[in-house]
Amino acid sequence: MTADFSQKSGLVKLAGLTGAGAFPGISEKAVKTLETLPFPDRKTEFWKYSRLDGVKSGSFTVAGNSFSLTEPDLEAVRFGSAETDRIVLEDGRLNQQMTAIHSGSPVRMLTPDQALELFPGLADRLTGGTAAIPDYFAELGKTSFSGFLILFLPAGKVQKRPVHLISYTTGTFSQPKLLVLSGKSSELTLIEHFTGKSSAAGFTNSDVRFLTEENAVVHHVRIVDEPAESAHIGRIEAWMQTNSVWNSRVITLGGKMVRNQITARLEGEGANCRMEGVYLATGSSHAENITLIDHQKPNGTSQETFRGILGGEATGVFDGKIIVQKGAQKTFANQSNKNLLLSDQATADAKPQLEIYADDVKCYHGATVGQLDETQLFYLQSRGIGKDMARALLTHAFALDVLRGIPVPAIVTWLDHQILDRLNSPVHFGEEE
Amino acid sequence: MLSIQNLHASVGGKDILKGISLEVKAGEVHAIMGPNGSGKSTLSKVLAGRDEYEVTAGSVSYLGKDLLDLSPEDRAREGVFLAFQYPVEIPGVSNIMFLRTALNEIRKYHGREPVEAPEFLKLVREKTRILDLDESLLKRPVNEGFSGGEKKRNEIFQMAVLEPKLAILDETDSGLDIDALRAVSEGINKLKSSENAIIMVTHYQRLLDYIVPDFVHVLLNGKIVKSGNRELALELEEKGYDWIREELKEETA
Repeated sequence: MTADFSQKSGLVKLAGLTGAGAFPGISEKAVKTLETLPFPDRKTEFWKYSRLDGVKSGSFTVAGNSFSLTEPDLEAVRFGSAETDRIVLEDGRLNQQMTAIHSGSPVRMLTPDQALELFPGLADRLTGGTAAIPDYFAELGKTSFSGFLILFLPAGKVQKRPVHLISYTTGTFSQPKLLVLSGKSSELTLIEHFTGKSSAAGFTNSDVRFLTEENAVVHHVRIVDEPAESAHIGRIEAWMQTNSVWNSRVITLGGKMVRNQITARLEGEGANCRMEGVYLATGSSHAENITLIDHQKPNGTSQETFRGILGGEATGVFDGKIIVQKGAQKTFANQSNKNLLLSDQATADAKPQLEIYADDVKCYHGATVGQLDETQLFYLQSRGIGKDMARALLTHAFALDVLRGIPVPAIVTWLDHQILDRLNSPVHFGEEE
Repeated sequence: MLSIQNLHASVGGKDILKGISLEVKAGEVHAIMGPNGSGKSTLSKVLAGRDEYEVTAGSVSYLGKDLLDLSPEDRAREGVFLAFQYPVEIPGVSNIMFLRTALNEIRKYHGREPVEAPEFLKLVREKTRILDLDESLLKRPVNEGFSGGEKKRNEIFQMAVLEPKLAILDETDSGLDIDALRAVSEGINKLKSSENAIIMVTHYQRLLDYIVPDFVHVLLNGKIVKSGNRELALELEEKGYDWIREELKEETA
């Protein structure tokens, strides 16, 4: 079976297929909407910077019922000695055989029916659009040809081992979907890891939703490391209840065209959001982060930091919007985007936006685009550090600023090394002794 | 150790150094004094290899090598150290990691094994004690959020760890209160030996109360116009630079 984006009828037919983990009623509506929507192009503001040509002209295979992954395939995505609970999605489908959750871990997988019983408002949330204008890929994602994986952490439980969710592509078109339901005062560390192996171009259109109940804490890390020729469009949305904490870090390492759309809705009072990211793009690749932080209630805080590292002829985009709604007094919001251009041909676009409708708030934002600082380079060189190593050291520091907030040190080190390797750094650097 | 011959340098087409000659031997301390804009800092940066300055004439020989032919990192590996007038902040890189990387790069250049973490830690602890430096500075990012005094002391601390043969101290005394000045000077004095040499570039003779120079040179308008001993520094402190300018006029008249 193939997915062909230039042939709409075939795609809609594909979307109509039902799969496990589907929520009733959602896909039918999405299929209808999808039929009315044109394929997005750069004339639309929301897609102005994206490079969708590869998706539009591509014809992608769709995985059947069989699985092919073996243990050696996953060797490269292990974080040193860190113990994790592992869940493997292969081309968007749960690979039971490769999945291993420790018997003592409190995290559970639910069926849609179980989830709806525990969280009755869920169906409405999943049907609702995240953008004012219907988003073609979001509607496509709602279609049921692959359903949701649903993780549930009961109230008061602490998931001590990080959950490592590996979403592996073999170069197909897939739509991995994840729903994370965090009960009151629970705490979860989740690492989503999009990776794969393929010389052919694949396309991943993913959706992840978090519902954090009162006082729940979620540490979220997403690593987007798709094969070099592949495209990835991922939507992340967190629905944050009173006093809940959602700390998210989205690290883009690889893929021809990666677009992360990250939304946090601070629906309850005193919710606390940290939304951070590093995007690394080299060669002719494109990495894009479209973020929205929606402060709806008073006393919320958000801290947003994105760092772009762009080499070769790569392009990086940061489009970050913060909305402070009328009733959201005493909101504190801080947004920062910094871009490091490692070559003359690399480009970065930064578009910070603040929309503030409350009068007693503190909001800050700032964006910079620049090269490595010559004075800093010279200072390092004057101490005997060679120019290549000095460049690597400064780049490492630039990324580490965000990475070191990740609560699992083995992952910080792993990511740090990955970034330096991809920049052909002569060495790795340790953290402080 | 260092032989500077008729050195000319410019930045952005403007001539700053206009024929400097200077001989420095191991074990010597030289002070270079002069008013603002005389070229003192340019000389330090040219010796360290900052590439925004263009050397237009002259030569610099250091331990028998053509210094100007070496990259800034190779100069450092050969034992040249510049204590910056304005030490640079490097956010995200801890002082200790920075120094260990530097030391290992220098060792590698000389064909030596890298220093292991415990051994290195022992070395830096010892040096912090000598300089009476707060150990917590080690873990902080290089110079970030340091006070002016801490930055200058950190420069001398790096010098203590890297053990250069030729140290160029660019206005290391400016902006220091008397206690910090004393601490920095004591540190430098402890590092002085018959094997290494120091060039101090300074505005003020105050530093020379603590670190006694063997030679004092006056830099005016890109040239060394007068050399002498410590007495010359005292005379400059008392009378300023105008009397030297007068002398020069008489000579050329």
